[in-house]
Amino acid sequence: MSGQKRIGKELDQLVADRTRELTEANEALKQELEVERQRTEAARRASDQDSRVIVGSMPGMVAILTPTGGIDAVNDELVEYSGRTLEELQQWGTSDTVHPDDLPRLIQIFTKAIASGEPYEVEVRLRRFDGAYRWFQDRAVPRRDASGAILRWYVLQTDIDDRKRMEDALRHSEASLRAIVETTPECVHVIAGDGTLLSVNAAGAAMAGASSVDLMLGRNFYDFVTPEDRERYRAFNESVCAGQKGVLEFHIFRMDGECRHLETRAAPLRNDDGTVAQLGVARDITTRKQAEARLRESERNLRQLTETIPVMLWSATPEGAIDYCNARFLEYTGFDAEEVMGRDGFTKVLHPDDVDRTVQEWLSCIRTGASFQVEVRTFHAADATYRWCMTNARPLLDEHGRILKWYGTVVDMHDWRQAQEELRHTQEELAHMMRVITMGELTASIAHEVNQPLSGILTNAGTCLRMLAADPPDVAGACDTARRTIRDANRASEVIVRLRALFSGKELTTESMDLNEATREVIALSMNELQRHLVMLRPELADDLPLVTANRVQLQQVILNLLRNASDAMVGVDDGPRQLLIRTERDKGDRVRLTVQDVGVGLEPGVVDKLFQAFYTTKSNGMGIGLSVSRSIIEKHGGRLWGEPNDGPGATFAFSIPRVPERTTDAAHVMRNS
Amino acid sequence: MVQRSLVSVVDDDESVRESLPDLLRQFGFAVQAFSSAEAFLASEFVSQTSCLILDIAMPAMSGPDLQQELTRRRQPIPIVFITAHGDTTVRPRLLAQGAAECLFKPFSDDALLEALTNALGTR
Repeated sequence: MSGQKRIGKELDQLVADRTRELTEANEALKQELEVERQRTEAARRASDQDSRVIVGSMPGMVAILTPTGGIDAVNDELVEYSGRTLEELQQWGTSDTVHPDDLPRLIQIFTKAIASGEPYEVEVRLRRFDGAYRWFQDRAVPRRDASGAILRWYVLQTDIDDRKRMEDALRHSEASLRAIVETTPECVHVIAGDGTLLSVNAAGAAMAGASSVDLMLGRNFYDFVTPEDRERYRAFNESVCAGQKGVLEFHIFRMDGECRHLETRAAPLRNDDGTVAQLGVARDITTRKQAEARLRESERNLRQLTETIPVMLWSATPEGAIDYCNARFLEYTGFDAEEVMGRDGFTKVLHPDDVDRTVQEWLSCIRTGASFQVEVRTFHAADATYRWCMTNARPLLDEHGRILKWYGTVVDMHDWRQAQEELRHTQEELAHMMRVITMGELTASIAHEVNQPLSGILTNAGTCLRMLAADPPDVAGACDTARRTIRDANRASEVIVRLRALFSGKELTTESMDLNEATREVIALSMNELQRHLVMLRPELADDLPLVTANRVQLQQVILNLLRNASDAMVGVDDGPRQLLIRTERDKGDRVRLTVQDVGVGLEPGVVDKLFQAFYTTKSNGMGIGLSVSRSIIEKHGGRLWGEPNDGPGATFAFSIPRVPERTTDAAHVMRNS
Repeated sequence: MVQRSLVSVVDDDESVRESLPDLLRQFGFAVQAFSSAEAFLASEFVSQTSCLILDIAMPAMSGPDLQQELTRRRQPIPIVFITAHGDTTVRPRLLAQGAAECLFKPFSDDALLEALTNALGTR
């Protein structure tokens, strides 16, 4: 035991000695540390004291933090700004002191900085006493002691709100501008003085057939311009870069090889580095140019058409002034355009006798907007004669029915008209021949009817003689044949009786009819002839005319006869218009009257009575039966036909016939003509 | 003059059929009268007829139609046409087509006799 015990005792003693030594050393260290701590504390306090003095006098908002991030102190400015106490500010991590949108970011940066001891800088919005947030730049810097341990954090908050807002506004306006440039359908580009494309918008890229802007940037724009236009474009670009604004039309080849027509408006753009580039806005005018070319082409075609068409064309203003005549018109009439243009220039090409009539009709059409149509003799330069032409015009109306323009044609009808005259002449001859043929047929049928019994008479008489001359005479047979002779003679006589009946007994069918309507039909039928005789017909047909009972065809024959007589009577009238008035009206005694008045040769006294005798005529080529037949027709209708000289020139003829009695039906009446 | 030759009369006019046969018999001919061309063709007298007195215009078959039919049947009978129509242009045409004569009504008994004599003489 003794050895072990001794070793044990020695060991215990050694441990106890080491322990005591350690304890003493530890105590000494403690005291040393305490001294050090107290010294550091004193130093920090001194430093804090210094800092607070500095901070308090700083013209910014400052916070001092402990090494672990707690707010130790803030200056007055921060308190004033926030309207909060130190204690309230110390709760910033969970309050609205920092803008909620910025708080998570700030906490992240702050936590990282405290952990790492690295300074940080961050832009956050801080709440002002009145609730408004302003942008601040927070800059936190740690202060360390000699050993590098962090003593305090200093955080300076600088108000950057105004700058921040300006930046936003700037960013916003730049964005707007960019948006405008990018969405404009026109090509906006910046081209350097040497042709390098510095900038272009999407529309510009599309215009050049590039799929993206990047494909174009940095390229020389001159390469896009067609070789024909390249030098012109280069000069233009250089002029703009020398400070001149300008406009240029030129062609480019797109990247796909298609040629386009562009128009650029450009102004000099001064860059930051002092160089000048061309700021240009280009638009693709290919379609417009093509449309313009097409329009020019179609105008040229139309002009060619109107100038080469073998028809005379003209147009006039709504007021009736001629404003265009085509080449054919001028060639035909031999006049210059200036001579026939205007309000009454066209009268120069008309036959003097046709001018008044044409002008009156033209003025009436301009007033009413009715289509214009006259047959008028027009001067024909080639043989210096007047030829009959048909002149037509129609108004072009706007959506309100106002006349915008008159368009007219002139067609030479002379040959046609002559052919018509010839045709009419031929027709008349034909009609005459028809009558002759009819007479021939009639004669043949009469001959046949008569020849049959005559033949029987001859045969029987011959037979009779032969029977009597026979030996012995056949008396009985001769008597038979003689009787047959008598019978055949009677047959011939009957034929004559039948023929007389055929030519005399005539029935007249009448109906209730409108005299105005019958008159209008006659006017329509004779219009051409009246125009040919240059007669101006003025109808005055009463609106309230009662019906009459008459044979329509016969009554129209009478009206036609009166119109022809009146027209014929005016053939010699050359010193004024050949006016013809046809009027219908009620007459006294339940009658209806039709009057035809001319300004012709009139009636000599004493002639009036003879007029109505058959075969009496004052005309060189008349039969003299018209008025006689007319009067007998009117008398058959229970009416009266008369004529009298006018007070002025000409004569008036009229008839008056009974109207249909009230409540008479429309049934056809048959009256017997004796 | 040839005796007892048969002359056939074809005419739609009854007065002709009444008067002509008596005259023809006075001339000494045998006579048959028919009211239409069809009636004549249907009779037994076609082949016995020495001469035909034929009206031109008849309601159904006309005189010239009958003439053509006889030619077609190869029975050429001399024909004296008679007509009440005054159209003289038909005569040369009918003569050209083989007719012996064409008489316009009214005709005299002597003219008829002469025509018949000529017609029968040409046979």
